[in-house]
Amino acid sequence: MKVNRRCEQVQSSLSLRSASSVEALDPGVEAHLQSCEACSEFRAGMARLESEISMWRNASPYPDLEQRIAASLIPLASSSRSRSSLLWLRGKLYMNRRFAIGTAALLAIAALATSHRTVQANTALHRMGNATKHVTNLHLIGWNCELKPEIAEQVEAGNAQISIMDTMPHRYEGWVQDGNWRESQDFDSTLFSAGKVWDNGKLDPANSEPPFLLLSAFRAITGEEPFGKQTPFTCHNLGEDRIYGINALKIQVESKKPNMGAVVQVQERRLFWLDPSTYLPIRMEEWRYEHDRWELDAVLWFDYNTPAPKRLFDPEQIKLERHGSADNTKLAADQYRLTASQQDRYARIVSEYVSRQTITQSDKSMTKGARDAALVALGSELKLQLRGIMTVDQQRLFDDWWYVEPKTLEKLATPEQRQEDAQWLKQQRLQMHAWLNTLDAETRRRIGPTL
Amino acid sequence: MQLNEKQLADGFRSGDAGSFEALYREFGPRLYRFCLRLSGDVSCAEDLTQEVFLAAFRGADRFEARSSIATWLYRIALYRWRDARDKSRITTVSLLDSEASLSADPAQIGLKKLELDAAMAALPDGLRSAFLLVKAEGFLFREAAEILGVPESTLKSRVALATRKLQTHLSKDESGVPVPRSGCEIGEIP
Repeated sequence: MKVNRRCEQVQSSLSLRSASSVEALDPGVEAHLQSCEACSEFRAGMARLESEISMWRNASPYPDLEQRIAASLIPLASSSRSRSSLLWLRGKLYMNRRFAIGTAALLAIAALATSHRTVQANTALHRMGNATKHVTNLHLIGWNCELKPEIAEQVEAGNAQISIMDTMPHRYEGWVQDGNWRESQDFDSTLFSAGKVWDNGKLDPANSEPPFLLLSAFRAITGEEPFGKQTPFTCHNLGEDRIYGINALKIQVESKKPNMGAVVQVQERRLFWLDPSTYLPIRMEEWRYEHDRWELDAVLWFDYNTPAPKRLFDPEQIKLERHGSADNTKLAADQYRLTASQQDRYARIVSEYVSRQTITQSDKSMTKGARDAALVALGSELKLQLRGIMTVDQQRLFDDWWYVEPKTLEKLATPEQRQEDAQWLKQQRLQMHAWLNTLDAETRRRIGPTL
Repeated sequence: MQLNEKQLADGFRSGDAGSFEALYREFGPRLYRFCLRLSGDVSCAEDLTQEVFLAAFRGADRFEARSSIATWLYRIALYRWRDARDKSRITTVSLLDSEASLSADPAQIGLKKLELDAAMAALPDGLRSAFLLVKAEGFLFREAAEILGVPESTLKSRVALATRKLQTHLSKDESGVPVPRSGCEIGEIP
């Protein structure tokens, strides 16, 4: 297509107006467009270009950015402003928290966070790595949040076909002790010991690596190749943050670009809250940059040097957990921290449930639909009964461990039931948020927008 | 929300509790997006946004409301970006390999979006900033010219040239080959 001087003028004119403008074009330009294919295409291209650009507005800054900026303003305020300036900045920095920290300490930390941010953060990261390498025992509890906005939107829109596994956050727990590793997620447990791996109690000869999630977390806190080999990363000090009654040091470690060898090739960010007296991480969050926004992927809490029972690392015990549907009391005792008397009651309730379930399943007088509905009701009743013997804290653990096979759900549920399930899932997620909120109000604020 | 800009700047300067929050709510995400498209790097965009607010706090005394707060803050953003770029701290890179997965489903991410990111990164700095201010940020030509410190006619010719270059790039480059990235060098651990 031939582009002459007139075309250049017309295209410049088109470039300077909005493609969606309702304002009439100059008659001369309009006439040229009728006869010039190149300029006509240019005009269509303008509309496409502006449409693509409008998508940029979806990019959201990291939720902590505001807090980070407020923290960096404090040293400036201290040197040049009145004390009232300090107070509002401090209020901003410690939203929802009591002003229990001395101004001097706060200023010192904020100053470090700005002027020596990198050096301090790198030092903290190295100290964290050294500290975690010297613990005798590691125990972590974590969530794979999976709070993707698109899933939440589907639930809100009433989509009944959403798999329970897509929306329910997975809780997982891991232990490392004496060279033994154990990772549990839902009702799956993986053991690693002396180069051997047992998957739900069954030896897996094809595998010789510690469990993936636990190993990733371990590598993250020991500071060794946090995002895989040869992936450069940056480190920032985010100042002090109060968590569990401790003024923890908060640092951020971020991959500079997707690791070509990584399973998931997105930009990743990890936040660590460090105990300033030991530099051991108390908490870790994993974020990923996807779909123009940062999404919270996982939250982990760590305990150290608390000996775990040896049976946790016994493959035979895991067989019982996996297959002992009528006798999963041992599993419950571990997972929900049941006392001895609670274990007795738990076992009786489950035993009764199994009996009733067997009777219902073999009841030929019932139609299939009635039988399925009765089984669902039995399950609900079981859950209520078991919850009834637990403390509030145990109930939280119990609610989040509850597991339903997606296939079973689809098979049993009517469309109405599925709709109810979708609502139930939403409630579950809200409950989880509320639970997180009891520990850390800041977390709820962060994940709130994903609802 | 209609902001009384002088009051807002005065409040920010004097330490009014709501002013920083209002200022950030109004301009923080916009500035971040602008810096993201300027630098092509998420971390650099955050650093730049932070520096804008720091510089604004330092210079709030000098804000006299002759221009809008928006043009004032965007001008600071441009200066900070140029400063960082001149000190070789920032090289504009395509967002292609940083914000979305290289291996992810192209249909999900939008090939066009990736191509546009690469095309934006390939634009000369002057053209890119002019184009972003007018087409992405929605500034009037007069405002964008004020931010860039150039005559309005210069601004218009830059926007037109940038648009034509983008269109040419997008029509030629169907492969979306990423521009090699180096990104922000602040705080890297070898």
